[in-house]
Amino acid sequence: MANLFGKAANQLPPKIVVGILIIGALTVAGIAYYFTPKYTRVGYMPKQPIPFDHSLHVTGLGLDCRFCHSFVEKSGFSNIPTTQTCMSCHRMVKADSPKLAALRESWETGEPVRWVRVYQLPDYVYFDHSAHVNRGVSCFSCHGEVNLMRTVYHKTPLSMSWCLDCHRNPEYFLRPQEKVFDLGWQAPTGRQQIEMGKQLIEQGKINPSDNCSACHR
Amino acid sequence: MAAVKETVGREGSGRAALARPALVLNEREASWVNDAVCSVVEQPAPFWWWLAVIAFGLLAGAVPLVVVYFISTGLGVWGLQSPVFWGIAILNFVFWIEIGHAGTLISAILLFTRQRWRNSVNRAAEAMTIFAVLCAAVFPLFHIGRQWMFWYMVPVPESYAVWQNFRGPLLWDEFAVGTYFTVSCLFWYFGLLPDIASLRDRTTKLWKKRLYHVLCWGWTGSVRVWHHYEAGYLCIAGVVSVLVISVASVVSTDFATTLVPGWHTTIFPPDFITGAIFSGFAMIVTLLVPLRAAYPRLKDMITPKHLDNMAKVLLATGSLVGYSYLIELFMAWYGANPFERYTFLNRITGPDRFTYFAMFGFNVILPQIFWFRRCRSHPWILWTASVLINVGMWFERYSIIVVSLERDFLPSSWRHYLPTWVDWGLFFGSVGLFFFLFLLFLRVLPALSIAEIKTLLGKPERKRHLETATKESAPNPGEQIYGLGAEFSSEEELRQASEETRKKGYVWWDAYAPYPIHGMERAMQLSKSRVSFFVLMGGLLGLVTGIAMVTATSIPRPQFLESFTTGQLQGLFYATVVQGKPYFSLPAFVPVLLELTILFAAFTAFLAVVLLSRLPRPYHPVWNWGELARRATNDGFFLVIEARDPLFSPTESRQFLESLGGRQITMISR
Repeated sequence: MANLFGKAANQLPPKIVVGILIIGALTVAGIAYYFTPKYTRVGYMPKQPIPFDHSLHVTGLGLDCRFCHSFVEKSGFSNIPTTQTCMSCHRMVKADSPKLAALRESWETGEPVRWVRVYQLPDYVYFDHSAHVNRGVSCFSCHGEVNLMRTVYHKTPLSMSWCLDCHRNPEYFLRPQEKVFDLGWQAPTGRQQIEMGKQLIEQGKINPSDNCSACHR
Repeated sequence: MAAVKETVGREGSGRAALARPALVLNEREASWVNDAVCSVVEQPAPFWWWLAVIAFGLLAGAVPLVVVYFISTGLGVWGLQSPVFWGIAILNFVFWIEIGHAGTLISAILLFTRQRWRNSVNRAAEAMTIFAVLCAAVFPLFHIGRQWMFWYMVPVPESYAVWQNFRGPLLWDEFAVGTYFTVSCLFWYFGLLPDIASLRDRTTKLWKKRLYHVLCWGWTGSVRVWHHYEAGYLCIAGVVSVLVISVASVVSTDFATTLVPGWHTTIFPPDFITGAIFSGFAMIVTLLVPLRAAYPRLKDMITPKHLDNMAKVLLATGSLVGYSYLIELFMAWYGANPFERYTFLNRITGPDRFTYFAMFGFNVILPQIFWFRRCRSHPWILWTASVLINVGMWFERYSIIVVSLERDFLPSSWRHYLPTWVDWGLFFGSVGLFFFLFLLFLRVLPALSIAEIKTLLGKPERKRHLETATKESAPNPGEQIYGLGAEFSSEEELRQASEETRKKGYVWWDAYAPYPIHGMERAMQLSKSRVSFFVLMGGLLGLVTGIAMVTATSIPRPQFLESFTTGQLQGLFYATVVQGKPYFSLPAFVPVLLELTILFAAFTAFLAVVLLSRLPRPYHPVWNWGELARRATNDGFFLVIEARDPLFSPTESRQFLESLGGRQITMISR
């Protein structure tokens, strides 16, 4: 028997090892990046039946979040405004705009506007808006700078670890109650925020649960 | 000492009278071992093999069919009903996982206790272990209901930030079985390396040669490689032997940590271990007796002595199992717990009482026939008893798992358990799968450990008669010389030649042998292999990794990490109180830590051997010498002095090798 492989084959094993390491590292990195909600959910920007511009209404006209999402402080579910809410202005303002055709149709037929839902939690997660906004968790913390968005998109991953980041360390995120709906408010940075957060926790007796049953009831 | 002057001849001495029976019969030679074992793989499959493989293959086909059925319909098609939520599936898991233990015991613990007879049966036993664990793994994998969520059991950082409960027996189970399967495969493959090399040197087809060559990592048979290999083999055996005890114990804690009467006992771990060894040996006998009958040449290597030994193990473990049955009864009475008492009364007199009697009869009373030599040495009596013992062990699991659950604390919820055809399909499918895999193994890899059996041969059989005529082989001009090789006729000669070569002052040289030769380390003055050091380091690395993992995922976030706000580092710390145990509960972490230590140590041992022997070596100049390439894994003993040695000179080295008794002295081209 002569040799089964040529001399050059002796260079092969280290190269194979390096190749496997590179492929392995790329696989892990790829899964870590592409297979989490940070990639799969963030940035979701569906086309809505009416091109509603939040930046125009909030920053431009100065509407409060609660003008349209009127039950957010009282209810677990933050409502999408009804056609009537929109029409309270748009019967007079831009009443003939072609962009609002779907709204007028809804007004006439009584069928609600088919808004496309952006943020959706799984059925096995219980979430209560009122519990959060009444304890100094701003809309901003979950929905981002909606006041500047021309089209609303999914800002945060909504993964469980993301929820827990705040549930375990609320002092990093809490803000004074009067600033909850002020999306343009600049939160203090660094230690200042932490000290303010701790004070708010003290005052409001805020004690977010990180027990399973808090959300998975 | 002067008194002991008169000595008798060797034959008349007490030593000869006490001599152990030969483990390879009929004075077989090394090359015969190669022929006999490899022919099982090389010759066309006999008719019975095709028949058996088709039959068991069809039976194994039930597994995918049933699995697809119950995944698409849901686990409701199993016979599980309150209060029996652990039925046939868990039963089969325990049944198979415990069968695996005997293979590990033979390959690891009997190696330490210097039971040389293990060398002939360890390969088949290890293969049996792997297939049994594979069959076992089917059941927990499928009983979780949503099989695609299996990765929730694996500690990977993910966006849920929830960690596994490392204090829970079911997670210990996953670690124990996972480690057991991985390390068993590794050990088995490690033992196969020299034997795959044997197959490589025998086959004539180039693609097969190349495939085997890659599979055996370019095994040369160099004594320096054997040196590391033996150390590595011992080290892996050392860590594997812990698994024999730990896996069955961990499986038993799945039951013992619950409050179900009949399960909540401290005797479970030792009871499961003895039961495991018992059922495993029964399965080895079930496989080996027909194997001997089908390949009569193997009878010289799997001798009546082997069967006798295994029957004795069956007798001993069977009696131990009987002892624990009786202790269980005693404790139920003595403990004066009415639920416990009722459970055992129910096992003996309840509707499933036949399972108890089948268990007691087959496991305790039947093995008592092995007190008689005739029953131990007669293969088919032994075989029949082994099959019945396996049946008995299956009923033992039934009696423990199902019968205890059927009637627990609350009589209003009692219910008789009836397995459905899906349950039975999965069980018989796993039986088919087991034998199907074993049959495939027979035809693909050497079923007996060739290199290890050669160490059992008698001294005279290890010798070869070589022609003294040396054929003059001048290398082609212009070809570079790698070295000068010589063949020796026995390991004794090779050892002496090695010693002389070293004393002469040669540095760059090596010896090649088909099996590890004792005394070669001294002859070559090899320093102690560093493999064991790496194994220790690997084990410690595994331990530290394990401690870091279980600690970080179980304790509250330490103060000094306060500056991190979001991200996975935060997600690491998710302190939850479970089972009323403290955050850091060392006793409950021990199983996971142990398994990780073993896992890391075994892999380091394998890698250390391969790297220290510079093994993945597709090309080696010594194979340019056809004689060595053909016979270094068969029955040849070679010594090669390399040309780069400062003392090397074509004429003087040749004379030197001749003076040592080397034959067929050949110039090897580079």
